[in-house]
Amino acid sequence: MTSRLRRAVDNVDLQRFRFWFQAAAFVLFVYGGYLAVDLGNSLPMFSCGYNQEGRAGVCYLLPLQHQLSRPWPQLFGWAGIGVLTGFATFFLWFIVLNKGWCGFMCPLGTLQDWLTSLRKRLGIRYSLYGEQAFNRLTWVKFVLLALMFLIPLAIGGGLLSHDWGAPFCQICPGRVILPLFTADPLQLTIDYSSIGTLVLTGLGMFIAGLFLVGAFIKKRFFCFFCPMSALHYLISKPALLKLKKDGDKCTKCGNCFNVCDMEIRAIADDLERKDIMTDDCTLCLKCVAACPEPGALKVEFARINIFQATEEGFLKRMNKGAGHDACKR
Amino acid sequence: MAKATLSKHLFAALLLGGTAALAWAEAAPGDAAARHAPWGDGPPPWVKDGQVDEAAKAAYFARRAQADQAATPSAGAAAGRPDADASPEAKRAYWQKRAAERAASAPAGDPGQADHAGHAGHTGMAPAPAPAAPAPRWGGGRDALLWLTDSPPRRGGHAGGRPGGGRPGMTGMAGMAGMAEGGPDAMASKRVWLRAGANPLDAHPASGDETALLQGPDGKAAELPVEAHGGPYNVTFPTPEQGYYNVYLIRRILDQDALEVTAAKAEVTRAGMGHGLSREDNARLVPARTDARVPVEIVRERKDKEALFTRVSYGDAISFQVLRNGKPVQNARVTFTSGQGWSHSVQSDEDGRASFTVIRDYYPDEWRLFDKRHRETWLVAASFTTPEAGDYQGGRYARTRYTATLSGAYYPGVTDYESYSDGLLVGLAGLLFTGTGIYAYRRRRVQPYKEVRFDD
Repeated sequence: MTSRLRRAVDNVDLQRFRFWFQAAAFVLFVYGGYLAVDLGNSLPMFSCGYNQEGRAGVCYLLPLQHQLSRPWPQLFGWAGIGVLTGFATFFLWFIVLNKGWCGFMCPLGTLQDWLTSLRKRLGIRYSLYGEQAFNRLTWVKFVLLALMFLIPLAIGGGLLSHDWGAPFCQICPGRVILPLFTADPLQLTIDYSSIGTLVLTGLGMFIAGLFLVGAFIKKRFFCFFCPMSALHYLISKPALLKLKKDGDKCTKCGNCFNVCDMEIRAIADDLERKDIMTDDCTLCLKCVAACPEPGALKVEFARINIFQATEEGFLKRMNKGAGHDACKR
Repeated sequence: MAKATLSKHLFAALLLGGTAALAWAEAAPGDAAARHAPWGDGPPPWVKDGQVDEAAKAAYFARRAQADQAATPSAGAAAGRPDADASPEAKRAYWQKRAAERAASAPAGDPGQADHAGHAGHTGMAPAPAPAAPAPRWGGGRDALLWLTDSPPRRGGHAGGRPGGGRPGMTGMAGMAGMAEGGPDAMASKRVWLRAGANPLDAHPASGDETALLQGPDGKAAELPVEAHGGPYNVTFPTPEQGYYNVYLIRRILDQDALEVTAAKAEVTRAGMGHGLSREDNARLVPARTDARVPVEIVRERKDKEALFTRVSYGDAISFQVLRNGKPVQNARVTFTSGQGWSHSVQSDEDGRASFTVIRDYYPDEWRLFDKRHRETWLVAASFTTPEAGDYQGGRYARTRYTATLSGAYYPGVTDYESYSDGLLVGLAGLLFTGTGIYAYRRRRVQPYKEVRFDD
């Protein structure tokens, strides 16, 4: 019985499973509010707080920035407890799925996958960064993360006006685009009330336009720059869901790299690391599904193997023509 | 050569002279003190028969230190404020003393009283009768309209501004106004002040000693005794929960053959720092409540989908209901006055309702001065007379004149400073710019077709 279940899981049509899982998560986090679902305000993905009506919870980055912009005596005093409590809640959510929040749950990530599907259907070829550009751009998310901490802290210290409040949210395409799914166009504006708001909302609208084009021609375009992804990576050590690699079983065929939306070369090249998840990884598990070597790549939850590469699963998925990029390219 | 040497000498002399002058100027007070010793001419008091008495010397300097401390005002007092590190009790005592001093030095009656009476006439209020009793020192002349607000009084009159009196770091929060100071506990208390005058622009702080009535978000009623210190009437109350807190002041005055009943009400919001309430909490906390202890009151009807952070903005229509003992009052004269003094009066309908549109009356001289968190106070007053007769404090009255007031805040609307068309334009620009850039990049990288022939 166990072996049959194991076989069924390992042979799963991951693309189809992921599509429906993402669709359900999208409905939950974008429309769940209408069903009175409220999962709090420490969620580790972009369940946008600006989607006032439909959200089923709030992305942690919004309250975090608000909390950090409190006056320093408060922040480093009694209000610090609130910040720690918020972070602890965020951390507890996060360790369950690790970066699987990005690959399976995040509405903005799902939206990018849908745009990719649209591009495929239209027969337009995708873009890649190239190794040099990849190595340069991969730092952007850490810079954005640092700014996301420093700007609110500067506000709390009186160095910057409150008009610069929640700076990342102001430039996040999720703020502009996700509320549109509940027919809320309130974020499609430029705020002229101060220089700070003018700059941030202008940037936000421009980046929203850039996001649509970028996600259309480059898979998971925005995830490469996402500060939430950077924050995830920094605290991912104790997470329960893990992507493991057995370098001894790897033949460096390159399938995993070819299907990787994030162009992570290490997934194919690195034979040493067991814990192969990198800062750019979204734990979409496409690499596991595309791997023909039994046990070379596997997913563990609390050290329990829940999904692994098998020859049978690989052949089944390939023969089915499930639309893996390795076949389509 | 000689000329150069002379110049050097002159320069050196000037430098020395200047330095000496500076040194003298700095040392002069001390020198003067030395020339005129505080104990006068002769030896110091601790020197007796040419011998220094150490005990007497120590006692002398201890007395001097005490005297200097008493004579020198502290930095805070010199600036007209209590010391920054003083305890909350000491600060409170300081302000109460200052208020009492101002009350004692102020001329009797409200300086703006005549204007207020005139304004009341303009807004349709009953004409003010001649005062039969001495008017309070802090505004609140018996003919002045009384209202409660969570906006603290300002020096130089009210001119709108940011909530909470523009405290740095506390702006932008609709629920922050009236927040009492003092660290983390400040989050759990609010304060309201009593004003006199029908125009929020020039209404004055008013005094009083009536017990304030409080109704919390959970509907629980409480009484808030007010300390009669002679200064402006204000009352601080705890706000442990999020929601609306209703504070009332009821004043009854016998005026010839009429009993004047005034019910001033403030609806104070305590909104948390989180991101909204749950739907259940919103449904429980946001709807307006009434208080059975209050004979007459104005209730602001909630906006569609209103939450605790919802603001009233320019262009909004706001509706009120006038209630007497919980029942609607028809044909009450209801007057809405904006923060800059614009007013409009209507009669309440059969349901006691009156509606107004909040006008835009904030026009900064330059756009850079525009503040989207600019807060103005609106005031709504309803008055009507009933033939109720009776006795009050030994006097007979043949009719009763009810006046209810309610104040609130309003802010610029988003359409004052946000543009959808520009937003869409910038978004479209981003889309086109990126799309065109990528298209051009791809076109440039297309390799032209080259036929290669091999000659076999």
